[in-house]
Amino acid sequence: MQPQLSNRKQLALSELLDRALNKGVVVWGDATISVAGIDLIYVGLKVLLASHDTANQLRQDARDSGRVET
Amino acid sequence: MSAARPREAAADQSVVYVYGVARVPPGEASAPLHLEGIICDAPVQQLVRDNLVAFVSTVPASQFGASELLAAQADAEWLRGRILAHEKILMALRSSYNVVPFRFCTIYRNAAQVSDALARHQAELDEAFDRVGDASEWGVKLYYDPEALRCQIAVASRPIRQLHETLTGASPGARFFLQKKYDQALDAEVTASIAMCLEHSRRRLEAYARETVEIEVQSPAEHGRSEAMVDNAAYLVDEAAFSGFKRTLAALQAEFATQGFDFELTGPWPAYHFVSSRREGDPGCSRN
Repeated sequence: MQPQLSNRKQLALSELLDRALNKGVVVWGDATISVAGIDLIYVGLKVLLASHDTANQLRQDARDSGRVET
Repeated sequence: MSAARPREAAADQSVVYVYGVARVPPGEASAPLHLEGIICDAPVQQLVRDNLVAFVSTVPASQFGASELLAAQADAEWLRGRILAHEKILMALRSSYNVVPFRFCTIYRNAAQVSDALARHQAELDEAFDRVGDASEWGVKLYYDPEALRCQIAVASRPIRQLHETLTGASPGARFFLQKKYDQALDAEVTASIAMCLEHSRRRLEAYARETVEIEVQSPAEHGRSEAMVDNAAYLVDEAAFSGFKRTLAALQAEFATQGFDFELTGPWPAYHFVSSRREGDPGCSRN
């Protein structure tokens, strides 16, 4: 069951970027890629998202593959 | 810096990608997962340390080394696939575990380093598990249609209607100033209506949430809608409280839709916004 109120019954990748790249447990000195490195990737993807066609494509992709598999 | 690169990029070297961590009940044998990992041929494995289990994949350093990942941002297609895979794995794990999600591309040199990190950060992780419990993160965004809201106020607000009557009956000379006064009054009511809707909805939804986090409002390029986004929040909602939360949101939608407001619910998400407080006020954690 996927409870959704949205009239766009889909998951936008921008939502996911704000979470997976910007939040989540940040560990710790000994991980091989720094937080600063991930921030760079995040900024790069944000720029990519600024193109509207790309944003629509990303939403489509997210809808197709961002669901739980049961 | 250049000295470290050949070692990271060596083709036969592997590193360990961590998706998230969960608590293992003592004595319970962990069942195999059969989950596809962040890339093909890198299934999700469990790495147990004391009462914690990390969900990990062994991946080639030639793709997931620090400098390789920075170079990979040119390949949006590839990166997009990986971000979706990261999310998909966390969502699949959610059916069996209360997982504390790690950030996309948290990578260690080897399994021993992951195990060490789990042991050293046990207290913080325990805090995160207690904070999140079996709750999920839900995103609620509030949009409004500026035209619809202005029209609604122009019809429904008595002071605005009175100003409009004075305006239409005025001489051409007086009109200019009255028009200005009318516009200002209308703008002020629009602002007040937005603030009221925002405050009211937050208060009612917060009653069902363990915690609420305010997220930066997205630009139209990000959300892709014609309306303006005026609120973006993440709510941490217990399994048992969710039906009430959802019902309240539907009631808010019914109450405010005629004014041009629209609520959008997304989720359930791993509790990303409720496990990362270390980041704020601790710039030291960005050291490498």
